[in-house]
Amino acid sequence: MEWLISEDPIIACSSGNNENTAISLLRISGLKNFKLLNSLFNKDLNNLVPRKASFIKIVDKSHVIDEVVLTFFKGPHSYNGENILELAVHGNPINVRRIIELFKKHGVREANPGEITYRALRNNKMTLTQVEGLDTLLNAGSIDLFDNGMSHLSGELQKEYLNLRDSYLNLRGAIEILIDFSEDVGEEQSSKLFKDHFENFKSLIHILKRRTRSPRSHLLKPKVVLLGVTNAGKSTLFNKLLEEKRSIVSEIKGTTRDYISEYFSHEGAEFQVVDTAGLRESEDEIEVEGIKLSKELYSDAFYKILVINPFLSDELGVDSLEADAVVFTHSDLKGFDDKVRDFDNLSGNSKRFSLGPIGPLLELGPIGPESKTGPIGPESKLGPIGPESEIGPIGPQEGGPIEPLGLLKNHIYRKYSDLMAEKPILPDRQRNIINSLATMVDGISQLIDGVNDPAILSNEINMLDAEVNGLLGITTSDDVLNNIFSNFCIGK
Amino acid sequence: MNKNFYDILIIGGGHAGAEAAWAASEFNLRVGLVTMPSIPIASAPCNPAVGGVGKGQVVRELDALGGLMPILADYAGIQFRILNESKGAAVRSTRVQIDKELYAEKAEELLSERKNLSVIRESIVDISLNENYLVTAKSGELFSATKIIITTGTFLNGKLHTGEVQNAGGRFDCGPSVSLQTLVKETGNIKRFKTGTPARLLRDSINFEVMDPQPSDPLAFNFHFKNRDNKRAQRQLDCYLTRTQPATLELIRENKEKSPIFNGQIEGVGPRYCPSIEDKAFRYPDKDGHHVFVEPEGLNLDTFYPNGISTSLPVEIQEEFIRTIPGLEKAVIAVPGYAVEYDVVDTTELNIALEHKKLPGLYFAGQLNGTSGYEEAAGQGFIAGINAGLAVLDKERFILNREESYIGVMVEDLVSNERDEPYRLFTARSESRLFTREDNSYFRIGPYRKKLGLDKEIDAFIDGYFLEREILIKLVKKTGFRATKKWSKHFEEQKYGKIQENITLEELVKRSHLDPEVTLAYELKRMGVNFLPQVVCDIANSLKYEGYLERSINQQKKLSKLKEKKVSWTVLSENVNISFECRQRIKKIQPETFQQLSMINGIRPATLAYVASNRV
Ligand SMILES: Cc1cc2nc3c(=O)[nH]c(=O)nc-3n(C[C@H](O)[C@H](O)[C@H](O)COP(=O)(O)OP(=O)(O)OC[C@H]3O[C@@H](n4cnc5c(N)ncnc54)[C@H](O)[C@@H]3O)c2cc1C
Ligand SMILES: Nc1nc2c(ncn2[C@@H]2O[C@H](COP(=O)(O)OP(=O)(O)OP(=O)(O)O)[C@@H](O)[C@H]2O)c(=O)[nH]1
Ligand SMILES: [Mg+2]
Repeated sequence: MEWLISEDPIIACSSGNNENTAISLLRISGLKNFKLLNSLFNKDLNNLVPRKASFIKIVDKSHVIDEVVLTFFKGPHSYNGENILELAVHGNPINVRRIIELFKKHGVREANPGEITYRALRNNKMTLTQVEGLDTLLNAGSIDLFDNGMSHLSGELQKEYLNLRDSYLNLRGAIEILIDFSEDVGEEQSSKLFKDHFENFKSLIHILKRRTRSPRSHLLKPKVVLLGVTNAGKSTLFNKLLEEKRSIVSEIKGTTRDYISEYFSHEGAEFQVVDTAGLRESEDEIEVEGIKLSKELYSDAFYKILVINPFLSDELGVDSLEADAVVFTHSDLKGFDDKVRDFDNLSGNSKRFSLGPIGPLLELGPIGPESKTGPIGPESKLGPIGPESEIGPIGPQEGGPIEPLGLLKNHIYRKYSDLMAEKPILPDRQRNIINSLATMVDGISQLIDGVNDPAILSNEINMLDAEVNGLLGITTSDDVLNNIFSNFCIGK
Repeated sequence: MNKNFYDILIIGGGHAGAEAAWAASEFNLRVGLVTMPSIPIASAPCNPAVGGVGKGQVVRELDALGGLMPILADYAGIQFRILNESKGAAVRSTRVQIDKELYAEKAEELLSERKNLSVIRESIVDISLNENYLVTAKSGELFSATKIIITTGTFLNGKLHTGEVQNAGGRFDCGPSVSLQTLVKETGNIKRFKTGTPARLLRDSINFEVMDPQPSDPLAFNFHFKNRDNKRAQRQLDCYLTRTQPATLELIRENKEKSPIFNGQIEGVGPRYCPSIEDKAFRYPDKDGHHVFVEPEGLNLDTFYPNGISTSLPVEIQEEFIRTIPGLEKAVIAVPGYAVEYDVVDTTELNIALEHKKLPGLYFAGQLNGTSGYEEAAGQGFIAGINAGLAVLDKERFILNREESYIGVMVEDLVSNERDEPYRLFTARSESRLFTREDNSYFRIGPYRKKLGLDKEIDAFIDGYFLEREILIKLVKKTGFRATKKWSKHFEEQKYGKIQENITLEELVKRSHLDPEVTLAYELKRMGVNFLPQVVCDIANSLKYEGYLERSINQQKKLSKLKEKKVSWTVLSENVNISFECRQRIKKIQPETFQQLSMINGIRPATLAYVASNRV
């Protein structure tokens, strides 16, 4: 963790350097002056006007290495408070490498991941919450997640933490008044003051806690998992979601024996969809293992889809499992509607969204004029919408009727964007602190109802101090810092 | 040798000075206590009481240290009370109403008994530093000393206010001590504080019938270890409780412009924690009444002190508003209330022994350090007195830790932070108040006293205390109850709860619904074993708080790495990334660790976060 204290000038390519691009952006941070590098340019760097781009040549012993655009940001008015040189160089990785090596020979060190940003933290340009927001933003797999990171980066979350700290300080004040000044303030009044402040603090904590309730994995890499008995049509649906034939489809039961996963995008969010081994009694060790895995994947899934072929009898009780959506397959077969009606009262989670049927293959086209849920436009290729669809009304919207697959994807996305609308707090560090604060506060609640010794209460309340300050980044150890910054890409 | 040469000369015979003289004269050194001729030693210019929340703890710490105040308070005590009784042992405090005449008489008597201590009745007008300190009295008499302890209270540039009437003076009946200022100015930034006192009322003019009497509590322990039989030295009197009325506050609000506090006549900052009635009336406009404790000033004095209505309004208005209070309708003012403004020295210039950093050998203690209260003054007096003595003898400094004592808390607070209002101790100032209790003061502080190796009598008492403690701990861990019918019945009778399996006495005492002191005392009595009641309380509460204490100690440990992190104030105070205000404070206080930095008033979270993530 030497780098936490290092003041070396550092260099990194901030625009990613894996492919040939037109331009790569190099940043050099922490130069105290230009003595080290002045000989490497064809103009005197001391004449640079801060924040003004100049066209300049990089030279090595009068040999021109590259022609670049250079901008100087003078500390403390820079991204991280240090002097920063930004070089827009020609983007060939070979060229980028050569330039970095050249600067390294002249006393500039290659930066560690996140080191340039770490210096922003060190120089009070950013709070830890902001840094963590930046991390979220840079690694976001969806626009919503990006926005989430952005709002934390802009300091919104920090404001709420400051708010929490104020409430905490008030609470501490109140308990001290209860102990030290109740003769002056009055016994009743000081107890009430304490109760009010405690309730206020507690509710703030629980509001924050609600924002940590969705598992991180759901937010970062939402998994859509298909589950059903063998031959239900999971792989068929999987391929449709991906719009490509990725998983083997066959009438042989137990075709899929290990799970397969792929990504699809919808509304700017990326989802991982997982096709699993169909459920059935089996002797085959590998298949048994696969089935076990299916169930695990399903139970951890962000979005659970139960795939049911209504013509198959369900001996395993699969159709009573909890699900976000139930998809009925084989709608093209005769008697489908009657069969599906048997499922009207699915005993599992009552709030499931049931959708389908979805025809066997995209090409196989429209079916079911007997559809219950109203008119499907003539152009619809994919036929009727299932009996319990919660997404109504289905009908022509802009661009015509929505086919069930689109509905399903919308529903998946809706669940995701609803979670994101709760403004979830993602960084593990903050989640852990918030959850431990909530546990501690609930413990204090119990003490208030039980022992009610103000000296003990205040002792316990004082112990929250470290956590509250931790949220604000006041009490962070080197390990924590190291952990956070090692997540960053080089050049940030 | 010059007859006027002293090893240690204490200037000011208030509570700080008396305690300093008592402590310093324990060493075999020549000690002098110079004090104004007109004022009794250790007199009580304000509330005639010793102790109180957070302060009772200090008096008990002083007793474990061999101090004077606990002896005087026991001797002059005419009403004993336990404050915060319902709030848990950790914050319980003793408060003793004193007969202020007896208190001062006893102080004079005990100090005069010390052979190596001279009490000198002079007013000091000048102090200068040559090889030694040279001290000039008003009479022209000269003294010299190697160590000086200044404890002149509110007398530095003191100014009294009652309505528009202003007088120079440190108290009602005496002049200020102006000339010392020149010296004190050199010690750094001078600030101006104010404090006030209510009118004294004549006994015969008060109708006690309509007030609630507050009798002395026979269960409150005496302060001094030799009085552990808990007999009171004096006859006990009642105090009385009444309340201000809406009309009282209305009257005060109507006369705002006549109050020196609000019309700009007083510039000094008053204590937020012991406010005048004017402060209360304006600061809490929603409240329509406050407690007033009507307290006797002595067995033979016919004046009463109405605690809670300190004021500097003109006398006529004082009388008018006092007469709106039930029981005081016909009250006659013997001495009007007044406020006093005075200079205080900048204690951040002092080290942890209360010695000036740039003027070695010069110590400061008491109200001129910006504190308020007799106990605070006495606590500092002890620290300054002992340390001056140790310094003369070239011995190591005597420091009480903030984790273990309120005196330690106070001294550290004083020297590490600038005051912007008078400093008063209360329990919240201690981070470890589950430990810094009244009941375990001998356990906490005794060993410090022993290390001084001064007075064999206390040492013997403390040894005995520790021995009893050890035996009792063994006893509670080893004795217990079997889960039999017999004990089941006993548990039921005593409302101890169920007895499912064998249980030790320790476990019983820890049961959260029981009062640990009562339970332990009862069980010991039932077994027929006798322990010092103080030891019983100490152990009972130690058991009760053990778990909580451990948790907080563990947490402290986790944090201590950061707390002990060294910071460089020079670097910080020049860092443009820290707000100007914070840098000014950092430059002033010169913190050396993260802990000290975080204790500076007004340091912003951003600055702390910045330092936490930095190696500066
Ligand atoms: C009007 C008033 C109201 C107060 N109100 C409160 C209150 O509400 N709450 C509270 O907690 N405390 C209050 N106090 C404070 C309390 O009285 C003091 O904190 C305490 O007495 C301080 O002790 P000390 O030893 O520092 O100073 P003091 O007790 O003031 O003693 C100072 C001593 O120095 C001597 N002296 C001064 N100048 C010289 C000199 N030049 N030469 C020789 N001797 C000198 C004086 O004779 C005096 O004996 C009040 C004090 C006053 C005066
Ligand atoms: N007619 C008709 N056939 C379908 C439909 N959906 C799936 N099938 C057929 O049903 C059979 C099984 O489909 P798969 O998608 O392989 O089923 P699976 O659930 O993945 O089965 P396993 O991997 O063995 O668990 C294939 O022959 C599909 O063509 C449908 O809606 N209509
Ligand atoms: Mg399959």
